[in-house]
Amino acid sequence: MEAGLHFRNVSKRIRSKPLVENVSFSVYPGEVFGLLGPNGAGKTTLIRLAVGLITMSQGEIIIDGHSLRESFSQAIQRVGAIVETPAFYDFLTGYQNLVHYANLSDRVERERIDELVERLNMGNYIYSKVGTYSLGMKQRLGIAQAMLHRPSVLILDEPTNGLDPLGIKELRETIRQLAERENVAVLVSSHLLAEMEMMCDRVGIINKGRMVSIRKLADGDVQNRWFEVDKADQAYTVIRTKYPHAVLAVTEKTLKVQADPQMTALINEALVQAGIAVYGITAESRSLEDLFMEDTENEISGQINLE
Amino acid sequence: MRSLARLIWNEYLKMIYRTSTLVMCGGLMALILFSFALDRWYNPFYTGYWQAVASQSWLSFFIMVMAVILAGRIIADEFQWGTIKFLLIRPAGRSRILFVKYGAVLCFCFFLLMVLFLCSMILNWIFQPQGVADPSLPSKEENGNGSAVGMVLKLYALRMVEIAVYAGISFMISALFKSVALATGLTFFFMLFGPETANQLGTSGFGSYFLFHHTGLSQYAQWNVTESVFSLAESLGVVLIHLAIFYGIAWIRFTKQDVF
Ligand SMILES: Nc1ncnc2c1ncn2[C@@H]1O[C@H](COP(=O)(O)OP(=O)(O)OP(=O)(O)O)[C@@H](O)[C@H]1O
Ligand SMILES: [Mg+2]
Repeated sequence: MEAGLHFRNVSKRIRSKPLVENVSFSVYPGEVFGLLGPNGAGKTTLIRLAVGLITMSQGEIIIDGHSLRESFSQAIQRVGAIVETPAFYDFLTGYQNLVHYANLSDRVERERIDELVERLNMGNYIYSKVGTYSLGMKQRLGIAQAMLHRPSVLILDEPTNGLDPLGIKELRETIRQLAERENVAVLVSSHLLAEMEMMCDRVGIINKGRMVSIRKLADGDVQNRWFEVDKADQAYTVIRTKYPHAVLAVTEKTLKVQADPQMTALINEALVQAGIAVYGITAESRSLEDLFMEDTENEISGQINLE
Repeated sequence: MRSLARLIWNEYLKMIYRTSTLVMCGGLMALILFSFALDRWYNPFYTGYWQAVASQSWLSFFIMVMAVILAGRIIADEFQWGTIKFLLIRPAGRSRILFVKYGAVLCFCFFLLMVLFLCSMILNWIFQPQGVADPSLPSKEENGNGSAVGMVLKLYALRMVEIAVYAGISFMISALFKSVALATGLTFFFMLFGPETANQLGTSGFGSYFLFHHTGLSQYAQWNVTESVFSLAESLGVVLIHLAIFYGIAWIRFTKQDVF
């Protein structure tokens, strides 16, 4: 069985207008995957597809080994989600709303509701009518709703929308906890780059309905590093025998290498042993914002070139 | 089975916690009592207990009005509020949600109809306690065999079918256009002008299958048998086929559409 959430060449067209084109990505258990893109990029559309609110024109979505199209019930059973702003029954209390959603799933005990109310700090207002809630309170209730049935795939559309700084911090911790301790596959969307950087393991950058690139967010791990040496061509041969694919670019005196810290040390050692003078090693520090701008701009200019 | 019960309970949760539903129920009860009092005041001398109960069954009209409103709201509201997104991403599935929603409206109306029936029985019993024990029909020779109780039960059953038809129309429009105003407005329009259109249309050829020839089902359980063009079986057949078509249209729309 293929656990997690998998998009395979998914397209969605409405009256031949493409909203999403040929998108493929996977969210594995224990991982937080971010969908990042400007307004109107197609993040919410991807999420609507993932929960079956809209049908795909092409492709396949697999959730914990079940095809969403062919066995909707089994697939969706494993998913908890918020799509856009969470909407509730204003005339019911928060607790009644949760009972209502619990009734829609199999095997959700009352204790689970109480547990979530406590975990998300909603004790003060859970017995008030939802009509009186603020946006952030509703967002929390939405997250509780999504977690009720202990999903193995959690999908949250702009989950920090409307939360105060403390709420954002708590949510981030909750999400990391779910991924790391309970092995949940989490898909979040946002256009807030800083948010994504703090919360995600990988991000997929979406622009105009296309997946432009998928990036692993370096937590000091794999990063591009510049080696400054006296003989770059010799250094290139040395590194290539050890790591065939690590070198990305070579100039007269520098090499651009993709490496984690351990690898960097080993490469340095090998170079010195080969009699090459290493003048310096610099890690390329690029924020997600740079990556994002770069990728979306490439995409835009790429499209212009085609025309 | 258990899950179905929980889904129906959900619909009641949403119905009964709304002030407007409670006001409607209260209004309905007040109307029924008021009409009943009026009725007793002007017609104090019914031929018998069961006939009084039967003739008061027309009050189910108010339940029908409420059914149209409830059925018109039950889908459109979820779209209006945006709660449909949460409803459709659970394993219950769209077909079952649709079924439960129509079922919940019918069950609720059936409950109200039972309340009406019991109220009518009790209040009439207060006025003429001796009549209850007399199961005979006032005009046996016309009705052939059969008891008065049976007749009243049949009458109420047919009232329930009438309610189901108008609720079904409203439900279908609600599913099609997701608008409460359109669903209730159009249904009341049909309720008003449907039978008139049926008269204009006549009963020849295909016109005889026109739904509104057959919606006045209570005529088939009258004390004094009147000549009718169709038999009860024919009318029930036409009505049920229409209901199935309405439900089918609602089903296609509800299960196939993209929800944004
Ligand atoms: N019902 C619809 N019919 C046609 N086009 C639509 C519809 N809904 C959305 N779109 C289009 O699909 C595109 C993607 O919309 P989507 O809501 O997925 O964007 P998003 O990435 O979630 O944006 P945001 O950050 O503003 O939430 C937009 O260009 C939008 O105009
Ligand atoms: Mg969006």
